[in-house]
Amino acid sequence: METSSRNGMTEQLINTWTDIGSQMWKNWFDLVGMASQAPLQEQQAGLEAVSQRFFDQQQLLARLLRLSFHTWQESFPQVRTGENWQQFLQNYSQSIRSQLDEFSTGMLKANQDVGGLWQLYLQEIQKFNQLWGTSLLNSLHPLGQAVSTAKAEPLLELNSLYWNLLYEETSAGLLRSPLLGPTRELNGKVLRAFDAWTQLYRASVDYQIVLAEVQGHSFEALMRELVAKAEQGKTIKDWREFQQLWAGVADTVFEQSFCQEANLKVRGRFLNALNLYRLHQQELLEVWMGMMNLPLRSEVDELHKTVYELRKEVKSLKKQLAQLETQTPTRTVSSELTNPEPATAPATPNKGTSSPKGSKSSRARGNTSAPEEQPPETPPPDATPEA
Amino acid sequence: MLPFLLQIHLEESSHESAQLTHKLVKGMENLSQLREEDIEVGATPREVVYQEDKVKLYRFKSPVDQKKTANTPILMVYALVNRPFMVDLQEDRSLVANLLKLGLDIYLIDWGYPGRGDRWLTLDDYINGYLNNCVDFIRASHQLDKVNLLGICQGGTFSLCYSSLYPDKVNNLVVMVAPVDFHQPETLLNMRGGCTLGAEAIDVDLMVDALGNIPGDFLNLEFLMLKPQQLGIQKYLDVPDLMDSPEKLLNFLRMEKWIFDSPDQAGETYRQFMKDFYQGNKLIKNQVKIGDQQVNLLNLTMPILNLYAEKDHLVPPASSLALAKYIGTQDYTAKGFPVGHIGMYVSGKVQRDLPPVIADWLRKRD
Repeated sequence: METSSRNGMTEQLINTWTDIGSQMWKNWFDLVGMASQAPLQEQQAGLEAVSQRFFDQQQLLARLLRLSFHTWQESFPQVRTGENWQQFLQNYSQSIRSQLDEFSTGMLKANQDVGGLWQLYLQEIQKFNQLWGTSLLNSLHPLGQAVSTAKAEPLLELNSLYWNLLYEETSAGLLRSPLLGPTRELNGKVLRAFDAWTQLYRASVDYQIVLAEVQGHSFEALMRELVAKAEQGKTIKDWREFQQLWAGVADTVFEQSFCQEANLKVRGRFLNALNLYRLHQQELLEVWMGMMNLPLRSEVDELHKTVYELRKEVKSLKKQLAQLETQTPTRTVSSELTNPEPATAPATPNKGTSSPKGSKSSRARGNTSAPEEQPPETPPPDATPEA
Repeated sequence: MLPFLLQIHLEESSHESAQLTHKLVKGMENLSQLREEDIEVGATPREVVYQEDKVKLYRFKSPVDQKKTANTPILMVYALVNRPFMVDLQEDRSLVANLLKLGLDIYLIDWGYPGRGDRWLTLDDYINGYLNNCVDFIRASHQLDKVNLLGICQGGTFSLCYSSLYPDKVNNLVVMVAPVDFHQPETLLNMRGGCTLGAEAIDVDLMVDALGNIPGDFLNLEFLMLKPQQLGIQKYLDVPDLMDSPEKLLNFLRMEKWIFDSPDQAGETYRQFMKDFYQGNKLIKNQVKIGDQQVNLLNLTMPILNLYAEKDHLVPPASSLALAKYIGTQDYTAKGFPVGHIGMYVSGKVQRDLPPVIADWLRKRD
């Protein structure tokens, strides 16, 4: 009876605690918003949006912690009496996974939407593409079951199956084939960008599956850690200690998981697909910029490269000139060319040259001032990138 | 024995809640009085003595009454990642200030913030160019053949390459938390960098082609993702505890500023560093090429002091300590400190113990 009333009380306490935390951050943002009110009125909306996002994240965190608390609360009496606490843990793990199941289903429904859109786009030229939506829908159930096994592999495999069967072997072939007509170049770029986007989407789903699995494992590890501590007589004293323990355990699981090559490969595929998509995106953007007669990114890069190479060459020539001057001091080589700035430090080191062992390469120097002097306020032209 | 939830008493919780609220109110007051300039890093007076493109060479000013205890100046070479002023974060947490107090002459390279126009800079430009020119400047200014190098983190790796290429310009080499052996399958940073999987973990060529320079924010995210809960959430949940102390709040905010003030990485430099060092682990195989020259660690015949952090999650001790196996010198010393990577700069205990270790070691070899 007493325990039950205490449970109720602690339940309320947790709720109060998390609500206070949420309210605290909300107030903090409101305060910041008020502080910057006058000159930054127009930024208020943005600030509120940021506050809201932060606020939402806090709530999400609070929900996870609440669930962790409840698990601990219910499994602890079993630990005390030596009963099968693992069963409780399993039940809660199952609960977490069913949430992940919902998440994955959501992702796949989004996939389905994408498939539907693509279907509309291509239905006139590729009727068999209708396989997409139906097959995706049919796969939702087995996918959900795979989630409940707590392993990422079946999910990854299933996701791979979708894309291989329903995209790679059907639409992708068409997407990658040579096109016809005066717009073939542009259409080719658009289709290749779309292809890259689908690859990114696939990789993203895989990566989310792995992250979800890691979260599930970290939850289990936290529960095991709590039980182990309790068995050693080390109870968690307060809410913050619990949070710290949770963060430490979760990060350890995260680290271990991503030190595994299989998971790293999934992350790598996501990252690489992201960069590949960006490249295609830029390619398309450049088409538009070209039409608008705007300078292209690739053109600016090319200019930068030319400037870089020229700057390097000038530095090298200056250095060679300075060396020649040192070797033939009686000759009147224009010193203004080699050392235009009012440098007070010796132009060359007191021993040898600055080339590496056996190296033919050389680098010219920038502007100098003696250690005790202030540097010139405006650097001489040859020391700036624009020179 | 009861779980802590059942041990919590209402009065204690109320008390804790009241305390926290009190701290928060005080903290808000403290925070509202602070401005960006209050959290500037880099406390010790310094002057720019040499500048080339965006790179600046600083010389720190010694205390007026400080007598020099060594002839050879030290050139600090910091990483391209983050700003170099971690070595001079604030007055009471400054490796630079502590070394100055011990009578050493300190120079520091600030690599600057590479812009899109610097995308083509290579390791050759950084090491054979900027670093070498800074060394030459100091040698010329002091009429010395050699300088002492103190390379930190990635700057330590640069210093190793430089000292191997120019051994006649380096009197003593000190490396601090410097990665040497990049094949570290137990370390998440190395694994994410592709030390075992190469391009399957991250296709660096593709990334540089797509992004040009690598954004500092991407690197920040990578570092945060090494401990996502602790660095992304827990750290901020602990803030209310320190907000009521202006000094602690300042320390925290300064560190935040330093962490997130991340320059972009010049694309070509990043490409070579990641592929040759992280993925190819070529440094210890003597296969790294800087410009047209091959780095051979056996050329490291000068005295070497290797300082490492025993709890380092970015550069594990094993990575730094591997250096002993590949160098040519007989005068090699390694010393560990019981802290993490950042602790090497900010821990009070390390700041008390580390500077004398460096100063004594250098003086004996001056």
